Amino acid sequence: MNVTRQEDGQFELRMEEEEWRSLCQLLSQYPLTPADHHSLNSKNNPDPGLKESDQWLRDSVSKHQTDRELQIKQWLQGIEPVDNDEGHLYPVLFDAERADWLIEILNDLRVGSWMSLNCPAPETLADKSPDSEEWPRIWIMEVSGMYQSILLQALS
Amino acid sequence: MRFNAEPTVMPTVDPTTDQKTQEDVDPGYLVICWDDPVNLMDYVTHVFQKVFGWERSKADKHMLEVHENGKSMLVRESMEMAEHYVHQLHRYNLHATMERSE
Repeated sequence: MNVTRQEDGQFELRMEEEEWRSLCQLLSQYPLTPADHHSLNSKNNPDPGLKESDQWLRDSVSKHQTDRELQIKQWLQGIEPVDNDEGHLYPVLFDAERADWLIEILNDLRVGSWMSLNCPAPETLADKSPDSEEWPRIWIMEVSGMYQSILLQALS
Repeated sequence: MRFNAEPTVMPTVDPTTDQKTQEDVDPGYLVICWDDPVNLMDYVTHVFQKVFGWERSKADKHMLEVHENGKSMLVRESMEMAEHYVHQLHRYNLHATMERSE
């Protein structure tokens, strides 16, 4: 998988079939971050006046996630494979705005899977012997991070 | 014929609606971003650039402050604008809060 910059300023992420399937599988998990975890209020210094705003924030995040879920489905459906000698290739074209959209979605997956692992510190995760339930969550977390890094690097 | 005639029916204005309170406009709220071990450093910089329209160097400075000090005070704004920024940061899954400045 590699990213190239086109003359028109767009980027192209060229993916093998297996890579494409793993991206589709990853995105099908969206959203993973629970909307009710969001709060405007500091835990140490809560402002009672912001209680109502907290609910507004959670509703807004929830709506945002529903919109994104639909957008992901539409986006994936719009990407057609091209054939080469070795099989299908998936050329994913995107501009900076689309990259930002995808990076944000990948981050939801990364943060949500990390939360489902009880928010481990990086050193704890490295020493961990994951069980069969934890493996898929670690996979989501790490692969999302990898795609985020590729896209962020392309943008910079 | 008068082209600048006063309308005979004037709209009624309710002073209680669509008026901002003093709290809404006072830049008395701080937007704070908190550290967590999961968000990538480049991602945090990217989000600060997107949400606040900052140059890379300013976004990097605040990202490093979050990473090294556990938090960074990003902006001081009115209640309305502080809420707007915190909403944006939460959409990107950054841990941001707002509080009244002393």
